[in-house]
Amino acid sequence: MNKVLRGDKILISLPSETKPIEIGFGTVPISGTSVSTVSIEELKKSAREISELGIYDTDKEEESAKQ
Amino acid sequence: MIQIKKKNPLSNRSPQYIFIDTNIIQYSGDKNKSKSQAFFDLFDNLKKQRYELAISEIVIVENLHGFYGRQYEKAYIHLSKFIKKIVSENVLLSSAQIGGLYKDEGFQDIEMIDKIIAATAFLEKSLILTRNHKHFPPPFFECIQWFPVVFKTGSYLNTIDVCLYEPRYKLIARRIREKERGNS
Repeated sequence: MNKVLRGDKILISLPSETKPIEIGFGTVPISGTSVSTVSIEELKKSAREISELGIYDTDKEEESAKQ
Repeated sequence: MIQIKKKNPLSNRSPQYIFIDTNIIQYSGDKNKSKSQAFFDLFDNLKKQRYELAISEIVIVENLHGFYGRQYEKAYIHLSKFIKKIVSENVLLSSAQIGGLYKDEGFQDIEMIDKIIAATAFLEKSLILTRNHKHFPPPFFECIQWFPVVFKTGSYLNTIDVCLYEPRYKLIARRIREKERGNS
Protein backbone atom coordinates (compact mmCIF):
# COMPACT_ATOMS: atom_id res chain seq x y z
CA MET A 1 0.00 0.00 0.00
CA ASN A 2 2.54 2.61 -1.08
CA LYS A 3 0.22 5.57 -0.88
CA VAL A 4 2.48 8.32 -2.20
CA LEU A 5 2.08 9.00 -5.87
CA ARG A 6 5.58 9.31 -7.22
CA GLY A 7 4.38 11.39 -10.17
CA ASP A 8 3.57 14.31 -7.90
CA LYS A 9 6.59 16.59 -8.14
CA ILE A 10 7.12 18.79 -5.12
CA LEU A 11 9.89 21.36 -5.31
CA ILE A 12 11.21 23.26 -2.32
CA SER A 13 13.77 26.02 -1.95
CA LEU A 14 16.45 25.80 0.69
CA PRO A 15 19.19 28.41 1.29
CA SER A 16 21.80 25.62 1.13
CA GLU A 17 20.85 24.79 -2.47
CA THR A 18 21.40 27.00 -5.51
CA LYS A 19 18.12 25.90 -7.12
CA PRO A 20 14.87 24.32 -5.88
CA ILE A 21 15.13 20.61 -5.07
CA GLU A 22 12.54 17.94 -5.61
CA ILE A 23 11.62 16.05 -2.47
CA GLY A 24 11.56 12.27 -2.75
CA PHE A 25 13.40 9.00 -2.32
CA GLY A 26 17.13 9.59 -1.73
CA THR A 27 16.95 13.30 -0.90
CA VAL A 28 18.59 12.67 2.49
CA PRO A 29 21.90 10.79 2.30
CA ILE A 30 22.37 7.44 3.99
CA SER A 31 24.92 7.35 6.83
CA GLY A 32 28.34 5.95 5.96
CA THR A 33 27.84 3.14 8.47
CA SER A 34 24.34 2.24 7.31
CA VAL A 35 23.04 -0.97 5.81
CA SER A 36 21.35 -0.50 2.42
CA THR A 37 18.43 -2.80 3.15
CA VAL A 38 16.87 -4.13 6.33
CA SER A 39 17.00 -7.84 7.06
CA ILE A 40 14.18 -8.85 9.39
CA GLU A 41 16.18 -11.89 10.47
CA GLU A 42 19.23 -9.76 11.41
CA LEU A 43 16.98 -7.31 13.19
CA LYS A 44 15.33 -10.14 15.13
CA LYS A 45 18.71 -11.49 16.16
CA SER A 46 19.91 -8.17 17.58
CA ALA A 47 16.52 -7.53 19.21
CA ARG A 48 16.64 -10.91 20.92
CA GLU A 49 20.02 -10.02 22.41
CA ILE A 50 18.86 -6.68 23.81
CA SER A 51 15.59 -8.22 24.96
CA GLU A 52 17.58 -10.74 26.99
CA LEU A 53 19.72 -7.97 28.47
CA GLY A 54 16.49 -6.25 29.54
CA ILE A 55 17.65 -2.85 28.27
CA TYR A 56 14.19 -1.68 27.26
CA ASP A 57 11.46 -2.14 29.82
CA THR A 58 8.84 0.03 28.16
CA ASP A 59 6.01 -0.92 30.57
CA LYS A 60 8.04 0.41 33.47
CA GLU A 61 9.12 3.55 31.59
CA GLU A 62 5.56 4.37 30.52
CA GLU A 63 4.30 3.80 34.04
CA SER A 64 6.88 6.17 35.53
CA ALA A 65 6.19 8.75 32.78
CA LYS A 66 2.50 8.78 33.80
CA GLN A 67 3.34 9.49 37.45
CA MET B 1 3.68 -27.11 -18.62
CA ILE B 2 4.73 -23.49 -18.94
CA GLN B 3 4.08 -21.42 -15.88
CA ILE B 4 3.39 -17.76 -16.46
CA LYS B 5 4.60 -15.68 -13.60
CA LYS B 6 2.36 -12.76 -12.70
CA LYS B 7 4.30 -9.53 -12.54
CA ASN B 8 4.22 -7.87 -9.15
CA PRO B 9 2.80 -4.36 -9.76
CA LEU B 10 5.11 -3.00 -7.06
CA SER B 11 8.28 -4.57 -8.46
CA ASN B 12 9.28 -1.58 -10.60
CA ARG B 13 8.75 0.94 -7.84
CA SER B 14 11.56 2.27 -5.77
CA PRO B 15 10.92 1.38 -2.15
CA GLN B 16 9.45 3.93 0.19
CA TYR B 17 10.97 4.52 3.61
CA ILE B 18 9.12 4.26 6.87
CA PHE B 19 10.95 6.15 9.61
CA ILE B 20 10.70 4.23 12.85
CA ASP B 21 10.24 6.40 15.92
CA THR B 22 12.19 5.80 19.13
CA ASN B 23 9.32 4.17 21.01
CA ILE B 24 8.79 1.55 18.28
CA ILE B 25 12.49 0.64 18.27
CA GLN B 26 12.34 0.14 22.02
CA TYR B 27 9.22 -2.03 21.73
CA SER B 28 11.00 -4.20 19.17
CA GLY B 29 13.75 -4.92 21.73
CA ASP B 30 11.52 -4.97 24.79
CA LYS B 31 12.28 -7.38 27.62
CA ASN B 32 8.72 -8.67 27.17
CA LYS B 33 9.31 -11.15 24.33
CA SER B 34 5.64 -11.21 23.34
CA LYS B 35 5.73 -7.43 22.82
CA SER B 36 8.99 -7.61 20.89
CA GLN B 37 7.62 -10.40 18.65
CA ALA B 38 4.40 -8.48 17.96
CA PHE B 39 6.42 -5.55 16.64
CA PHE B 40 8.50 -7.87 14.49
CA ASP B 41 5.34 -9.21 12.92
CA LEU B 42 4.46 -5.60 12.08
CA PHE B 43 7.93 -4.92 10.60
CA ASP B 44 7.67 -8.11 8.58
CA ASN B 45 4.26 -7.08 7.28
CA LEU B 46 5.57 -3.65 6.25
CA LYS B 47 8.62 -5.14 4.51
CA LYS B 48 6.30 -7.42 2.54
CA GLN B 49 4.53 -4.28 1.32
CA ARG B 50 7.92 -3.16 -0.06
CA TYR B 51 8.52 -0.52 2.55
CA GLU B 52 12.07 -0.07 3.82
CA LEU B 53 12.58 0.48 7.53
CA ALA B 54 14.74 3.49 8.29
CA ILE B 55 15.73 5.69 11.19
CA SER B 56 17.04 9.21 11.43
CA GLU B 57 20.47 9.33 13.04
CA ILE B 58 18.95 11.55 15.72
CA VAL B 59 17.02 8.52 17.01
CA ILE B 60 20.37 6.99 18.03
CA VAL B 61 20.72 9.66 20.74
CA GLU B 62 17.38 8.78 22.32
CA ASN B 63 17.95 5.05 22.14
CA LEU B 64 21.48 5.04 23.57
CA HIS B 65 20.88 7.67 26.21
CA GLY B 66 22.22 6.49 29.56
CA PHE B 67 23.69 3.21 28.33
CA TYR B 68 27.34 2.21 28.69
CA GLY B 69 29.46 -0.85 28.01
CA ARG B 70 27.69 -4.00 26.82
CA GLN B 71 24.19 -2.43 26.85
CA TYR B 72 25.45 0.53 24.81
CA GLU B 73 27.16 -1.75 22.30
CA LYS B 74 24.20 -4.12 21.86
CA ALA B 75 21.68 -1.28 21.54
CA TYR B 76 23.90 0.34 18.89
CA ILE B 77 24.15 -2.94 16.98
CA HIS B 78 20.34 -3.18 16.98
CA LEU B 79 19.99 0.39 15.67
CA SER B 80 22.54 -0.35 12.98
CA LYS B 81 20.25 -2.99 11.45
CA PHE B 82 17.96 -0.18 10.24
CA ILE B 83 18.80 2.07 7.31
CA LYS B 84 20.24 5.22 8.84
CA LYS B 85 19.65 8.64 7.31
CA ILE B 86 21.99 11.44 8.27
CA VAL B 87 20.95 14.67 9.93
CA SER B 88 22.05 16.81 7.00
CA GLU B 89 22.03 20.59 6.72
CA ASN B 90 18.92 20.32 4.52
CA VAL B 91 17.19 18.26 7.22
CA LEU B 92 18.00 20.91 9.83
CA LEU B 93 16.81 23.72 7.55
CA SER B 94 13.57 21.88 6.84
CA SER B 95 12.99 21.06 10.48
CA ALA B 96 13.27 24.78 11.28
CA GLN B 97 10.66 25.51 8.58
CA ILE B 98 8.27 22.77 9.73
CA GLY B 99 8.74 23.84 13.34
CA GLY B 100 7.81 27.40 12.32
CA LEU B 101 4.65 26.18 10.59
CA TYR B 102 3.63 24.28 13.71
CA LYS B 103 4.31 27.34 15.87
CA ASP B 104 1.92 29.31 13.66
CA GLU B 105 -0.70 26.64 14.35
CA GLY B 106 -0.19 27.01 18.10
CA PHE B 107 2.01 23.96 18.71
CA GLN B 108 4.85 25.12 20.97
CA ASP B 109 5.97 21.86 22.54
CA ILE B 110 7.02 19.65 19.63
CA GLU B 111 10.50 18.43 20.49
CA MET B 112 13.51 19.10 18.28
CA ILE B 113 14.05 15.36 17.72
CA ASP B 114 10.50 14.98 16.39
CA LYS B 115 10.95 17.99 14.10
CA ILE B 116 14.10 16.38 12.70
CA ILE B 117 12.28 13.07 12.10
CA ALA B 118 9.39 15.01 10.53
CA ALA B 119 11.73 16.92 8.19
CA THR B 120 13.56 13.74 7.19
CA ALA B 121 10.28 12.03 6.29
CA PHE B 122 9.11 15.13 4.42
CA LEU B 123 12.30 15.44 2.35
CA GLU B 124 12.22 11.71 1.56
CA LYS B 125 8.48 11.75 0.74
CA SER B 126 8.21 8.99 3.29
CA LEU B 127 6.19 7.91 6.30
CA ILE B 128 6.66 7.72 10.08
CA LEU B 129 5.67 4.83 12.34
CA THR B 130 4.96 5.92 15.90
CA ARG B 131 2.69 5.50 18.88
CA ASN B 132 3.25 9.10 20.03
CA HIS B 133 0.36 10.61 18.16
CA LYS B 134 0.85 14.08 19.65
CA HIS B 135 4.30 14.37 18.10
CA PHE B 136 3.11 14.50 14.48
CA PRO B 137 -0.20 16.38 14.68
CA PRO B 138 -2.47 17.71 11.96
CA PRO B 139 -2.61 19.68 9.75
CA PHE B 140 0.90 18.78 8.54
CA PHE B 141 0.76 15.04 9.25
CA GLU B 142 -2.08 12.60 8.90
CA CYS B 143 -2.53 9.05 10.07
CA ILE B 144 -3.02 6.90 7.00
CA GLN B 145 -3.09 3.50 8.69
CA TRP B 146 -3.62 2.20 12.22
CA PHE B 147 -2.05 -0.99 13.51
CA PRO B 148 -3.37 -2.46 16.75
CA VAL B 149 -0.31 -4.37 17.98
CA VAL B 150 -1.49 -7.10 20.34
CA PHE B 151 0.83 -8.79 22.85
CA LYS B 152 0.74 -10.59 26.16
CA THR B 153 1.85 -9.28 29.53
CA GLY B 154 1.70 -12.27 31.81
CA SER B 155 -1.67 -13.81 31.08
CA TYR B 156 -3.30 -10.54 29.94
CA LEU B 157 -3.67 -9.34 26.37
CA ASN B 158 -2.63 -5.76 25.73
CA THR B 159 -2.73 -3.58 22.65
CA ILE B 160 -0.55 -0.70 21.52
CA ASP B 161 -2.10 1.38 18.78
CA VAL B 162 0.57 2.55 16.39
CA CYS B 163 0.02 4.63 13.34
CA LEU B 164 1.65 5.30 10.02
CA TYR B 165 1.85 9.05 9.55
CA GLU B 166 2.22 10.73 6.22
CA PRO B 167 3.51 14.29 5.89
CA ARG B 168 1.08 16.39 3.87
CA TYR B 169 3.84 17.21 1.41
CA LYS B 170 1.93 19.64 -0.78
CA LEU B 171 0.48 21.57 2.16
CA ILE B 172 3.88 21.89 3.86
CA ALA B 173 5.59 23.01 0.63
CA ARG B 174 2.82 25.52 -0.16
CA ARG B 175 2.79 27.00 3.34
CA ILE B 176 6.57 27.42 3.26
CA ARG B 177 6.33 29.16 -0.14
CA GLU B 178 3.64 31.47 1.21
CA LYS B 179 5.77 32.34 4.23
CA GLU B 180 8.74 33.04 1.97
CA ARG B 181 6.68 35.32 -0.25
CA GLY B 182 5.31 37.13 2.79
CA ASN B 183 8.81 37.76 4.12
CA SER B 184 10.67 38.65 0.91
